[in-house]
Amino acid sequence: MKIKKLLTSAVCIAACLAVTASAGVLSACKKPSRELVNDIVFDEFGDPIFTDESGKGIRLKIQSVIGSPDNAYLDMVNTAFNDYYRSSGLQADITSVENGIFYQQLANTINTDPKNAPDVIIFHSERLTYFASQKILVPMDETFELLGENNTFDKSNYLENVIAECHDKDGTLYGVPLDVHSGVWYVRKDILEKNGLTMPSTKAEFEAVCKALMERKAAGTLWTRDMTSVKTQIENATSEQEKHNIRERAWKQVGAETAASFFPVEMSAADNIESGWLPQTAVLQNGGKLANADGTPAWNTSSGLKNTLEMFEGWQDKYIGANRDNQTLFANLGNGNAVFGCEGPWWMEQRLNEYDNYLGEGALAILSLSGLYADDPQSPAANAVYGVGHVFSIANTAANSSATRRVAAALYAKFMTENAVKYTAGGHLPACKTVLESEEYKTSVAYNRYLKYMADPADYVMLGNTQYFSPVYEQLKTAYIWTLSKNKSGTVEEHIRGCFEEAMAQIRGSDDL
Amino acid sequence: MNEQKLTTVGEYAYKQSRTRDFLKRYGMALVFIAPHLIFFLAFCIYPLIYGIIMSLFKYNIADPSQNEWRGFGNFITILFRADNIYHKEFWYAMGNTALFAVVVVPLSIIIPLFMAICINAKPKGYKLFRSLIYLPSVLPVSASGVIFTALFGFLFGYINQWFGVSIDWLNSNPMLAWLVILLLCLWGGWGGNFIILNAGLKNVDKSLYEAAAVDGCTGMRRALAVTLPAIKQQMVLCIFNTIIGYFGLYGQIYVLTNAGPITDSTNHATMSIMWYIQNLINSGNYSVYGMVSAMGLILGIIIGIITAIQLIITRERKSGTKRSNEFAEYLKARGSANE
Repeated sequence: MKIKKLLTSAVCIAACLAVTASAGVLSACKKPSRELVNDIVFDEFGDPIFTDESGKGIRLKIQSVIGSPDNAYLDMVNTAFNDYYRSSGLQADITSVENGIFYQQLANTINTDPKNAPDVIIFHSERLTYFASQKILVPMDETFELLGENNTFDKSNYLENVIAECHDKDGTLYGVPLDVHSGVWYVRKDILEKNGLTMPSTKAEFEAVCKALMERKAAGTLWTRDMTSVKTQIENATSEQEKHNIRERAWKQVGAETAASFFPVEMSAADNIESGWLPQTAVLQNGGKLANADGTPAWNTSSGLKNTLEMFEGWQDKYIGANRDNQTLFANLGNGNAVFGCEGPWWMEQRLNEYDNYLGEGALAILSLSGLYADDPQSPAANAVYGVGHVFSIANTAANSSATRRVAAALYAKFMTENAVKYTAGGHLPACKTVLESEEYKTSVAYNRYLKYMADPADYVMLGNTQYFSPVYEQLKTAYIWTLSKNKSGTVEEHIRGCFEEAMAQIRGSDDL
Repeated sequence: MNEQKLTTVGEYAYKQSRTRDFLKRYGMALVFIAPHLIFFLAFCIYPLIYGIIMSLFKYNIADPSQNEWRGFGNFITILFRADNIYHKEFWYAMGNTALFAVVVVPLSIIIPLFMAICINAKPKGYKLFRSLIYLPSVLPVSASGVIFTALFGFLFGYINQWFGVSIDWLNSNPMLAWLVILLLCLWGGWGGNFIILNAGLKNVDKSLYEAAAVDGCTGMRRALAVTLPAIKQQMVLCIFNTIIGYFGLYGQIYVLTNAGPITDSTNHATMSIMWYIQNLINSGNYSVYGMVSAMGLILGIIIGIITAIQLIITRERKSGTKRSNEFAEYLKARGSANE
């Protein structure tokens, strides 16, 4: 009986504690007290001092959504920052956080885990407007202004189309853009040339090349070459001539029976990376918009989107094989069962190295998305490419209520973006004009080998300042995925309409909350 | 004055001895239950109450200044507002989950029961088989998911290779995807029910079998007329525990299909209620936590109702012959009265 009373009391006490703690929810309705404390001290040169009286400096915590393999390139720039600011006492440590959990844990960490909360976050710029509305970011302009006369940050030094997405709806700058990029087509140029074909640059040319390849397959005159079959031989070869002979001997002329699994294009309904670029680019290249001024989706009325998705639908079992999957892309390209595969640009260096080594230079080529989905190749928008960018922002944490720390974070963002040449090797175009126009960038191996084949940076069009990133972007991806799905019913037009209605329902639901 | 001192000391000693007695009697029990009690209070009671409070708010984890009192607004939205996407998707996921439970529960009882009956007959090597039957239950869902993905993968799956077929089990037809999920649930879950039913079978009175044999009742007839009624308690326990367990279906869906395939613009075909709630949390919408808490509570209430039904059904059995005795007494009293 007594133990029962004791347990009951314990549960009641816990309940009271829970209610009290929950009252914290009510009291937390007040704005968090992160008022700026202007504690900056400048030296005789007008630069901020980052060390305190005891000589202890500032160590910035950076959380980045950039993962493998391009985080290795970002680390190089971070090392350069640390070297540059070491004597000032300012250092930075980057932690890469997997995309799936980065956004989920970000708000929680900033608000409830001050010890581990990051000072600077590197994330995808299309989410900036939403983050700014949730007050987890600090305005960047105002932070740079704390430097007074020594402020050298210049917004015009960044691509206008890219930095536009770093503002919120009211026009306040919340981030410094690092880069812009899009998916690219990895093309077996050696197979195209062997079959007397050239790299396409328009929708019609792309389809014509695919048709020609399939006709050769049907006629039994298709030339193809399997890279995996020559790998061991190439590794054991002792001279360039021997390697050349091995590569030449690897060519085979095949037909419908011997190359039943050959289909020129690798595309899949399995939520591959291309779903995040192709439909978006199709909208833009036909003069459409992705989002309206109020942030709602604008792609539903795009005839270019409808035409492109219908084209992809028609390619199934014609130019796209039935058994394509996100695991098969590079495998099928490598063994010559495909010629075109769309993937992220961060694989460019690795894949080019691989193909140059085993099949010779030029076997693999990079084809940007420019002009490939425009119904009218001559239209002004025909070269537009949907761009995704990474941005540096300062997290609204208690630690960053110190003006010195905030300024340190801003200078970090400035340094990283203005010295990003090494980072671009990961397949990203720099957002900073100084970098774009620098000799170091233009003479870099990465630029001459593959970056210059990506779209012109000025042609990139970002998602825009919408706080409804998920409904606008994800439902457009769903429209594409469904087009290639084996389980669909209805027409492309019906499905675009359905995805749009779902996006609007999600937006209404979110606004209702 | 000396008397008062004696009285004070006496009272003091009495209180001390009461405390000592209490600790002597219950101290060890408290020491043993303290870890669980602390864990239970910290990780069950406290989050439950916090969740109830959150469900009454529009709760934003990023910007607490946006928190707003909504009262039962979240619950009303989920239960009654058919035009709202959260209502629509909640009940779609709940329907999927309930339908799956209706299909998987009978199989989750029949198959382990059959195996328990076979093992109970103690054939050669039954101890080895008993261990093998339970072995899948030891594996975590993630490991089982890897095994099933290797088996049912489209391109390199063993099932497609062994049988020379080219079926996309997980990403094409929703029925095929549900079938694979069902197989994983059965394979990973039959161990638990097998243990309970096997124990139940061991406790069946042997005299019942002897009596049945005397009456010429053998084989299937014996199983239906003697064995099953004798283990009814265990079966009811298994049924309701399985139902309650599968209302929390999440891991198997996450590792195999991630709620795909997408059937149309709106629906993930294999979306369960737990997957939906988890997906909302991961969606990047920081304002959804109040709504998600309300969904969790509604799910908990539904599971509570199922549990209550179980208690009502099993309570009658626990009463034993109480009702019949009461009726016999009533008849006796009535008979006496008539006399």
